[in-house]
Amino acid sequence: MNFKKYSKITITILLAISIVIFVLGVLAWSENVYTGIIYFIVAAIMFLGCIYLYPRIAKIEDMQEVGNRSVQSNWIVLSVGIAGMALFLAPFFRIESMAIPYIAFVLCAVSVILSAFNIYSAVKKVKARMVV
Amino acid sequence: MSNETQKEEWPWKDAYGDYSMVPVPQHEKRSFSSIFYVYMGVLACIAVLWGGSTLGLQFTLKEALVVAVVGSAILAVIGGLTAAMGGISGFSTYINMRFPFGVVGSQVFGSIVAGIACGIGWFAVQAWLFGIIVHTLFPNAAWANVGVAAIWGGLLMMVTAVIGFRGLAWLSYLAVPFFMLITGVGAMIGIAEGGGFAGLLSLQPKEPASISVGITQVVGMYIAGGIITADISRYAKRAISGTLGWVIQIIIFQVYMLMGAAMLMLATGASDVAGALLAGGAGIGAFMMAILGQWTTNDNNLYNGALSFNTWLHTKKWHITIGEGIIGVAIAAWVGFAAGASMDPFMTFLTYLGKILPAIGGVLIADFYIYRWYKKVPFKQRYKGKPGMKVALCNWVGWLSVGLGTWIGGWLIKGGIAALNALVLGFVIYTVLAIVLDAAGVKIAVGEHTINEKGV
Repeated sequence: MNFKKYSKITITILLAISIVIFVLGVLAWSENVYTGIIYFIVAAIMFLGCIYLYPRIAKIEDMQEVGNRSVQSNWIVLSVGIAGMALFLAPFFRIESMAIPYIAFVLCAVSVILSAFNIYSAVKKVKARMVV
Repeated sequence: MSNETQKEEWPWKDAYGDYSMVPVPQHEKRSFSSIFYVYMGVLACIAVLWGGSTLGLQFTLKEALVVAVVGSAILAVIGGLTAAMGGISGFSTYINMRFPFGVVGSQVFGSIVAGIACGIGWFAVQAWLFGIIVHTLFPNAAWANVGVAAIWGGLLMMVTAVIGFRGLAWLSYLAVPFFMLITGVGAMIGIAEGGGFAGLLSLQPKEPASISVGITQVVGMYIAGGIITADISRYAKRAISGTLGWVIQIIIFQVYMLMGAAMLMLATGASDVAGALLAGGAGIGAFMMAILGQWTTNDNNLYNGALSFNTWLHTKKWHITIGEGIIGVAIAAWVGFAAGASMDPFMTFLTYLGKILPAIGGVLIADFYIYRWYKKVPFKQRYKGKPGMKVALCNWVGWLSVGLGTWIGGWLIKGGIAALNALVLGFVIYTVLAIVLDAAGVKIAVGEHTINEKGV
């Protein structure tokens, strides 16, 4: 599989994760407005970081450049994922339905692992730069 | 133009690493987002949140917003001007200093304000403060003893500085979004504790102060960072990127962070941000804020310090980084282990050293924008150099302007913003003296030094 296709598939998975976190935010909103807000913010940053990649790599044939742009998007997902993991289980954002924060936490953890692997792959496979 | 061609055209040799003595070559330059993130990494620090928390204890929410916006606008202008110098020349602040101060001047002033003050002094203070914060959050853990935490915290901070610009960028990529979120969490806790936004607007501060005092605090808090922006902007692909990155982060994100902390403190009345966040229910986020906040700032202290020491200590830059890091960690640990010890006298000494910096910034800005314009040097050719170029050993007008600017602006004038007074005086004195003496045919440069391919 070429790197461009790989990037599109993995970023689509991350995009799906951000949408699920957004839905969880909607569910949490009625119990704790602040929980809803923090979920929305994390989901929005993740979503924009991912969706931004599609047009940026659409017409590019140089795989190294595809890798560079993929690295940028994945850094955004990685960092906001770590922030989500640190904050979603905080007491200030506690809600009655405990499943929601734990699901959101796990989704953030998955996005962190996947985006970290994507950065690693971009650097290893197509010699992308980690600092772009 | 391909990378290979660009490499061939670059006549310098990076003998000490991280382009500390030579201009950053085109193929090593980075995008706007990288530059922006590194600047944000420096900004994303506990000091800014503390600055915001001070505003929260002194002003109503509306007053705090005015103070934050005006103070940040002043910093945006200063840092924007110095960032453009790095973007154009590709040199660090301390190499740029060779032009208005001469080679010896760049070594002396750079070592005082960035090497000793930032690289060793403030690095040690921040490592020690890190130990205190970690100890406050986890008072019973052995690894959170002030001295122990200062050691492992200081060593962590050293790692990214040793890697160089890439290390600073990696850490900033990770830390900046988190810091923005935790600031938002602080604001949310403030709104919740303050009885909603309307309630927060009606709250009165515990220790009211005048608006000018607040602006002084905001400008004074970060003016040093505003003067050494070239250390990062030299890596920008386009000269304007450094200026834009700096201005955006200051005008939008510094105001956001100051206000987030101010809202938290205004509502809770607590004395420290980390404690207020922890008490407010931010959980592990408060701990991460303590680690990442100090780390992203303190690695920059080391980085800038090593760049300045490299102007006269001609060895690999990472050797210097490790050396100054070990000295700083040792100082922080020694103070941390000594029960009841205070860093106040040390911090006073560092603050005195830092008083020279604004006048240096004023002279740099005057030389680059006014004196070079007067000498008819095209804008994009200013502070450009190549091996074999000749620079003054000492530019006595630069030295005199810094001395007078610091003395009059920092000590004699009691009103206004001391740092801004010194900067403006340095700017005016240098502009007037350099142009008048030049017109009168008086030499302002003493001695001559030829720069070799290593930038020495």
